[in-house]
Amino acid sequence: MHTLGARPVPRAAKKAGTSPMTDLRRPLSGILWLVVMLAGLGLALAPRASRADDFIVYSPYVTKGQSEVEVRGYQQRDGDPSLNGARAYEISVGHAVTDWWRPELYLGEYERQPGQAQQRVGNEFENTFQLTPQGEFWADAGFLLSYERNVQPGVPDAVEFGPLFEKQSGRFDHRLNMIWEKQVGGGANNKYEFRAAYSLSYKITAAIAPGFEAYVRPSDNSYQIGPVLSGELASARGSELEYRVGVVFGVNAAAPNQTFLARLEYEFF
Amino acid sequence: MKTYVGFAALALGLAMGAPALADNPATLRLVIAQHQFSPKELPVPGGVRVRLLIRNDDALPAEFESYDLSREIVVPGHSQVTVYIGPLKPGRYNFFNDFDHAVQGWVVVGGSAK
Repeated sequence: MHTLGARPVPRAAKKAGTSPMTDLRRPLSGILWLVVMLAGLGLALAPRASRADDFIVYSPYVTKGQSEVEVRGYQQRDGDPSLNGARAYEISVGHAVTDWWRPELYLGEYERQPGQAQQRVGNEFENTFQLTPQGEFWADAGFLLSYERNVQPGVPDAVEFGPLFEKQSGRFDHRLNMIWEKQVGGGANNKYEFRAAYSLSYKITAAIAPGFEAYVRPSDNSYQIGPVLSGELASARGSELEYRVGVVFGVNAAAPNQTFLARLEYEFF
Repeated sequence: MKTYVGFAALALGLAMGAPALADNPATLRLVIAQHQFSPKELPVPGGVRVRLLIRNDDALPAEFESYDLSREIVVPGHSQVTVYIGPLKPGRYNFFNDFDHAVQGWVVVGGSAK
């Protein structure tokens, strides 16, 4: 059964920014690759439990000096009253301090469970590391590492991490994320919850890029897929307003029938 | 759970599946200055992966973008970025500044039409 209990809401959105890269990243890249592989292979063996929704497909790209302000959220619709009407949104700011590291702070994460009032979930400190330069390998890779501080009673803090991939092919753009989440602190369980997300988009113009997204959350027994429209409006001075709207449909009975997604992000130097 | 292990290993393998192609690639340079690419036509050897250093001498950021080359990367003002392109077949490959589409250039491989 899909669960939307007192758990954190979706984490950070990483736009399809682009990235500089220097040779200094190469030694770091090797070490982090090893960490990624060990984490992925080892932790995937652990059991998982129910988890909150998370509707974002991160990009691994980091652009030094670029700042961002982002708002995103979702709302669910389902015949099951325990799922219908659930929604969440969050607000974050980020700044890429190097060409391989972008920290991002979620100033507020909020959610509303069906039949309940909206409540604040907590804050999150998220880090995106770009591991490989664009085009050096078959796909470009990054790594996500974040710490989530929960303010709801009885909900432990959490750490999440995992590899991020992106592949550009003409006007097509593919992204794949594999993320593990582990509760930490008082009351934490010993489980690693896994989720994966995939997106494919086709850039007709910079402002119009239709595609689809798919989300896999085995611990929720939730599998969803649906169309998404995204795009960006750029100014000659290098600032960009990016949007993303869509709806993903439950593939299995336990997933919500529809989840409506929206994201708005402003990037600037 | 073995499925997830295989999934992760497959993705990692795909992403790292062509390291040999990246060994000691030729390095070429492209400059953005006064809102123009220089050179506007960049000769590139065919059939090999190439390391491309893009330096932006302007104060404003630019976005090097090319559907032909499958690349999109922001180049902050007074900064340099690295991308890899190729291996390419003989032809002409368009690129442009996504922040100013009037600023265009070409990668030229082998001199024949694409």
